[in-house]
Amino acid sequence: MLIMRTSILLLLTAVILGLAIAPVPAHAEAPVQTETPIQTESPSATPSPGASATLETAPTGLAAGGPARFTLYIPAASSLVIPPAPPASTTYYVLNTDPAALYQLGCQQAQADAARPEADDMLVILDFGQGYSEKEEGKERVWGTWLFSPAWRFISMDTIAAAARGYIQGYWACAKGGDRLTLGIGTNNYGGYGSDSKDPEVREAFASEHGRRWAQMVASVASWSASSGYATRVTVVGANDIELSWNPPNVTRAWVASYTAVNGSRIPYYNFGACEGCPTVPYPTWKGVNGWTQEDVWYAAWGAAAAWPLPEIYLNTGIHARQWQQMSWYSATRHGLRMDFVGAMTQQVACQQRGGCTFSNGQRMDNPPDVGWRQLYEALFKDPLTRQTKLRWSTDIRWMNR
Amino acid sequence: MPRRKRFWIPLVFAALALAALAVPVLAQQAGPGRLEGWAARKAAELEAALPQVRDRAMADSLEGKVAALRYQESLEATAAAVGAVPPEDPCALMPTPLPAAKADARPDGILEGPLAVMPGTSVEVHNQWTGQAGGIRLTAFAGLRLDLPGQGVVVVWEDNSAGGGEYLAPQATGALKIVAERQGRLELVDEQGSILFFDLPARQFLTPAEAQAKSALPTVIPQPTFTPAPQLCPVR
Repeated sequence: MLIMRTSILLLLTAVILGLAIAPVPAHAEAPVQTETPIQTESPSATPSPGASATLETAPTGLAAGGPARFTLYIPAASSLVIPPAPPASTTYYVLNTDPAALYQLGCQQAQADAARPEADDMLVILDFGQGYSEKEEGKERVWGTWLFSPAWRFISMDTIAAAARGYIQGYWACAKGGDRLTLGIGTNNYGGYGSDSKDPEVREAFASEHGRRWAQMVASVASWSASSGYATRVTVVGANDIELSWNPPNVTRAWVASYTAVNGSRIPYYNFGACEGCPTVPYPTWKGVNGWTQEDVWYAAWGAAAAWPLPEIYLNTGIHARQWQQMSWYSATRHGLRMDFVGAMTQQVACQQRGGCTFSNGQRMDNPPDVGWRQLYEALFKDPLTRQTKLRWSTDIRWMNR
Repeated sequence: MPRRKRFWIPLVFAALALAALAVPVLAQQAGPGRLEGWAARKAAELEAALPQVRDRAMADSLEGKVAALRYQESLEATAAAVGAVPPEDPCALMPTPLPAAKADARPDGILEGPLAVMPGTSVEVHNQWTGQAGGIRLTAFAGLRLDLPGQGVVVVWEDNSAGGGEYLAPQATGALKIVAERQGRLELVDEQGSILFFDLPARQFLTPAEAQAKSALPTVIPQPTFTPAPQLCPVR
């Protein structure tokens, strides 16, 4: 009888605990700590090695300014909570803008997804290179991008839109079942946007105009996708590989602000950039290359209404993941809400294609997609302030065959 | 029933208890993409977080993100109303390929352009050369390592192969630029006006004596070439 009572008690306890850790609405969580001062040392942000050996449940929603209300620790059970990485998609550095070639790539992705039941929700970014513009005498300035080497030539926004439409049609024509795709039309924040100037103020003006036009172009493709019926499967967003060494923050901020202002920021963009040199521990006075601050990185990756972070997690040491975790910690403590990452990007195939991904000290920049995704997941998970139990996508970038 | 057997009962209940604990955890891992209506759920999640956020910039951002997600929903609804059906032939919608002249093929030789970035690396490209060298079709880029002050660099790519590499100039005398190519040897100039030579088949900078000698250096072994994915749709 005593045993039965004990058993029932155990079960009741389990049910109560189960309810306690079940997803709870964000409004039921701990009081918001939006004014939390930046700490110079945070044990939670620099967990001890043993911290990874704990299982901690978390709410599904965004934690506003603080950890989840209910926390359960089960020692040495962390493997239970780290889910398998989602299937990786193929993202491209575009070298051929022929819509027929992009159609074939879209169809290939759809067929590959159809062959994997778990690949029903994928993300692909088409990276068309640095923002650029050209002006011929007596004509209006034409905006677009400068394609990557070795293609290395100017293409207009019209060409980019046509290429993206080709990819969408190819995917849609070949997709099966309930498979879906989010397509990012991408550029990067390098260079003078056709200004032929290194003056940050001149570049700022050009970047601003480019951001506005990029948003209009992406919105037009999204609208076409809807009116053609393709948006049942394909969602169109913008994308930008924002790297700190490629321009001062004022230039990139100008692009972001203009992009965001178009159409009331209804078309998001994914920042698939790096946070090179960013701290991995709280460092409020940090200043990076070109004068970037954490506030600048935050704005370009999450603070702007249109921005969502999809960070490059290239390095096998996991430093990239820790840098972005620290950015999310900055967001939580300074702005009251952690960042919400949409996934992780790797470059394993690009490294296989072109080499140059190994440093003299043995470090490598060619994380496989599942490793990069896991590094980010684990880094975010270790601190309740940055914990994110859903990390939607994994994508690996490669060079398009010409 | 013997008493010792009853000790299994709490263990069974304990297992059930662990299972009860695991259900909500696993449910969280299911991933939004596995279900319909991701945009709607994400919008609801952000809206729920909004009242908690005191920071004006963050709140404005969240409101914008929610609006974007709602707009995404409306686009999906528009598309659903169209009711388009994919063709039987998956190639039926493929656009007519552009004539080769309009595609992205580039001429061989030295190619000039604006400074460009080589993503995934710290290399800024100042110009490039494309052609055959040592029986391999390749492109060589000359430029600067952005992370190493004044360090010039040559990067070699083989078409659809991992046989490339990155080669630092012997001295950090600024960005390099290709000015000529003769029989597989690049002639480059740095920012101080000095001339350097790079042997493409050997993949190395040459000392002045080697450059004078004009004798062939050991050639790197060609790497396996990637097989491009087969074209799904024949060109009509």
